[in-house]
Amino acid sequence: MRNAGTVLLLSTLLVGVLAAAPAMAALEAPALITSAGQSPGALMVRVLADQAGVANVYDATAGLDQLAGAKSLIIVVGASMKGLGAAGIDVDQEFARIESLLVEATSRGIPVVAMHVEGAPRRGSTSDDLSVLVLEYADHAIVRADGNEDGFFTRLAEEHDVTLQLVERTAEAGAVLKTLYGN
Amino acid sequence: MANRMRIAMAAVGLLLFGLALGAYAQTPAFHDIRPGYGVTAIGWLSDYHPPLRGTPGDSRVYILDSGVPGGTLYVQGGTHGNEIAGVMAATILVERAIPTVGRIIVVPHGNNANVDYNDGYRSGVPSYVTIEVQGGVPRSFRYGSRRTNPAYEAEPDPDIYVSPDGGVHEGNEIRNLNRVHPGKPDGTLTEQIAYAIRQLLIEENVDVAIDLHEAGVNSRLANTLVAHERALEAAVYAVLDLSAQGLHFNLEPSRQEYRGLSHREWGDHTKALAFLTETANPGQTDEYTAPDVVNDPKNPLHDRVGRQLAAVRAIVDAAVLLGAPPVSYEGVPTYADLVRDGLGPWLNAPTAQP
Ligand SMILES: [Zn+2]
Repeated sequence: MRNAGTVLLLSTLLVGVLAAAPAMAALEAPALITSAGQSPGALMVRVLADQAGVANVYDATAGLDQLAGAKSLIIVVGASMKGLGAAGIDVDQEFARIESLLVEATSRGIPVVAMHVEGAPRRGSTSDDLSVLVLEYADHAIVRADGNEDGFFTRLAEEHDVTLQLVERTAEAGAVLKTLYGN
Repeated sequence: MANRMRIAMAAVGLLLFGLALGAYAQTPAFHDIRPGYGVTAIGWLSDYHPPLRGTPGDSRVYILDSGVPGGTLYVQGGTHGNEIAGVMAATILVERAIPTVGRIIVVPHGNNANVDYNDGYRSGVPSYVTIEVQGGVPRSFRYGSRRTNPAYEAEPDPDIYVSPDGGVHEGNEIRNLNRVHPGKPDGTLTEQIAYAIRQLLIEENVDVAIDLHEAGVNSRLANTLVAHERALEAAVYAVLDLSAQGLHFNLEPSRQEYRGLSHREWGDHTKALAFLTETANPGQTDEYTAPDVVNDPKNPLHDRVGRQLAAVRAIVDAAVLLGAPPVSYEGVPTYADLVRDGLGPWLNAPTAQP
């Protein structure tokens, strides 16, 4: 009785998941979550991914080694000079690390999600340069709307054929991740 | 006779003047704070560092004990006396919070020696703000300064100030409470205030400590939550919780180079998870010539106080979720309550409703 109930429950859940699955193929976990610029945004995304049930490995300064086991790559853009300083890396090294991850992910067919979740206060020339780099390789972008008031991310997304989803609140990025991963 | 009378009167006058001076030098500033049912004890910072007693640096400590075992939350306003959203948020906790688990300790005027002084840090700000409470009765609250009144320090400012743990600051920062942590038992008045706070955090076994501040509206720090590294995970949860309520807060990890600041030194010298909040105060904004620190249309005081109180709640909830001993309270307005009602109905009135 209990087993039959469990099976019924499971199949109901499965049907529910299949019905809710978006037309686009869902992204696969585990995701490697890293920061481009060492602001705390990546840490926020890690928490949101956990809450969305997206299995992930979080490493703000991840290199190619950490990409080995990943089935998707989430890069959270946000430049913090103090964050870079605390991590002991300079801006050039950060660009080089991110570019190597993007090139490797692309060559292995690992989808890339670009995220900018700290809004207008986290815009600035270094952040913007990193966004330009990441959006060039990204398949999806999730951006807090107040960081896109000038249409910066809209233009980048159009230029590189990236699916852009805007959220009003940082916390809402979790629901977008949940959908992208078909959870 | 006339002469003798004059001399006697002069002597009495001198005596009174001397008494007045003595009283002035030995009495900390008192404030219009009307503790509510949640307050179970009222102490002083000098309870934790006796030499502060009878100095302008002493300050009231309000203890709200639920009687139900749990953790201890410490909330401090008035580190910078001009950052009044923090002072008012702390005041509302004293007047309205009813703890249901654990304890809350509130010091509304972290640096009580800056409340009667205008350091010219920003011009065009009042020395008092007035809030109308129930029955149309005005209540006044001091608008102090960033730094300790220099009249209360024995020594003039040095050229360069080095904080107890080696932070190097401009000389006048020796009177900035948020540059002198963790303080010194035999230091300047401001350093002794910091020392008393550190002793309070240790002796009261504080689990979560929050220092409430404000910044200029165009400052990068406006609407920011700063967290010590041990508190960073909780800060992330808190910022996301606030975000879900529609309140954007920037997250700023405390850094090693922030020596002398509360989030750095409280976190390093006590077991507390240390946080610092910042809201957007028009009174600290260079671009504003005649700031209205209470009724500014973009950043009115009740909105800023609502943000401070929402941040306190989100921080406590996050810390508890991540394993800190539980603290809970009710009776405190939410951000939405304060946007709807303003501050007046949430401050205690002088009498029951007429
Ligand atoms: Zn401050």
